[in-house]
Amino acid sequence: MKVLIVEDEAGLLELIVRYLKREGYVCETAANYPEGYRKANNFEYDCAVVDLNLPGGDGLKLVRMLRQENTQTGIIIISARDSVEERVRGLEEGGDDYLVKPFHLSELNARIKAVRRRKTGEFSKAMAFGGLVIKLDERTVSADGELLKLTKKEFEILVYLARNKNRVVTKDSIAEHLWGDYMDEAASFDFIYAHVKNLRKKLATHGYGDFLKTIYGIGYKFEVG
Amino acid sequence: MEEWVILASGLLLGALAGWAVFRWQLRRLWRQMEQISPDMQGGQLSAVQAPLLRPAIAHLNQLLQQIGQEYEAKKQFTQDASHELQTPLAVIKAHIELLLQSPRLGEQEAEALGGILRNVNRLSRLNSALILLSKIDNQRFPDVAQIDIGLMLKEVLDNFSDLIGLQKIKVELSLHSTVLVSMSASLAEILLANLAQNAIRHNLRGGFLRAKLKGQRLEISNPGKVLAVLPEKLFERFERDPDSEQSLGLGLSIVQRICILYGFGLQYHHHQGLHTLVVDFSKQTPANTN
Repeated sequence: MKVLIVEDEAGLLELIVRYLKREGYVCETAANYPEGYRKANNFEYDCAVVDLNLPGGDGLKLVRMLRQENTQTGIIIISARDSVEERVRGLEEGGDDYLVKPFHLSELNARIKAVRRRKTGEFSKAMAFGGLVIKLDERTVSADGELLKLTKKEFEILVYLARNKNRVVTKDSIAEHLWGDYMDEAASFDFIYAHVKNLRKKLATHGYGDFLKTIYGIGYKFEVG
Repeated sequence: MEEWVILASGLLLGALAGWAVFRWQLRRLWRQMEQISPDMQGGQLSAVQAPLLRPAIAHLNQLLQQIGQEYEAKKQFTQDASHELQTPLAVIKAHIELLLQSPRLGEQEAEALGGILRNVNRLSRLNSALILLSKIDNQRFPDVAQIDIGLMLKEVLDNFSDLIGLQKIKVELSLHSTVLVSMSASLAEILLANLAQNAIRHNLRGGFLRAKLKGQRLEISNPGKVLAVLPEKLFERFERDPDSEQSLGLGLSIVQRICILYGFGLQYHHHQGLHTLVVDFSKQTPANTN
């Protein structure tokens, strides 16, 4: 998959690329508007991550252009502007998703996959890890053909971890993914701890409990071969 | 003899007339002063109707101008500083996230990183709250709508349902009236969410959250320990319960800023272990949000 990342903050740009490369994506970068314009104009991308505040021009124009070029490109806007108007405008101009800075790389990664799935059915409608199958459309999880009874939050945590498989995902990133701003940090950690414990118990009934690793003091990791 | 009387009464009349003119001019000036408020930029007094007070007015104007400029500079500084902090914070967070993926990470390193992460997150939340405060001060909330307070309160409490469940808190909602307020939808949500979060965070395990809407007043009460903070300081920035590690001490001062912006009344009282915050929406003054 080919991804274009347009971000003027060099440090952040590099880290995004490093994180996404581990997913096996081919990453193209642009650090300003003209460069972004040239790349968006000349090449096709499966996904574009675009910052709105760019030297030399408005990122929204890039979004509009990318959208006109190809309706299949998944476009994720990343911006420090967090007002409702900005979000609405971003989506109206053709963005598929809007992520407010500062964000977690694991969240960006999960959003890219979610957008691609909506657009093209890529990262197909089901994720399978051995006998463990997560069906995203039906919101079901089965282990060796048997449906597991998961709560809504357990399902969401599992999908989020699976989208970031084999990576350490921090507790606060999970908290933000599940509740946004509507949660106290300390309380949410208790919550996540309880949910993951139950989730692991349910997976363990079919021998998949080891998929969920606890990284003490930091977070969790969905580890599959 | 007669001349003396005429002179005396003339002087007296003159003095009285002078006094009347002076008082009239003073009253005019007073009226002008009442028009000036802290959020009005470049407010100045005119000496046209009060020529007697010209030197004093000139001095006051100079002071007003200086205060105005300093107020603006302070607002601008807070806004710039917090915005400039956002990017380095984002970069630090991303670095930690990547570092955590390293297969060579030992237990000690992981623990240290966990500590850094917790504190960066705190900084990050603190910074977002400061950005919000400075945005409220700069009145940058254009999404004005008719807000149904009761309806929005229900939505907000619904969003907190996980947290409410976790603390085993019972919600007692009594909506006796419909309160419609014309204000920014985002600020309305922030106001109600902060009030709700405050009542949940400082609640007792297995306690209750009582929200009552009556007339134009919203009352939110919760049982809890006696405050470590003086009630009159409750709304000040960085005044927080020292036992509550997660509290930034900014939630209620955000509530207060929003209430001041729209002219809502805001009160706190404490009675027999019950903390109550009251927002009175009846005094609403339309804030010019642009």
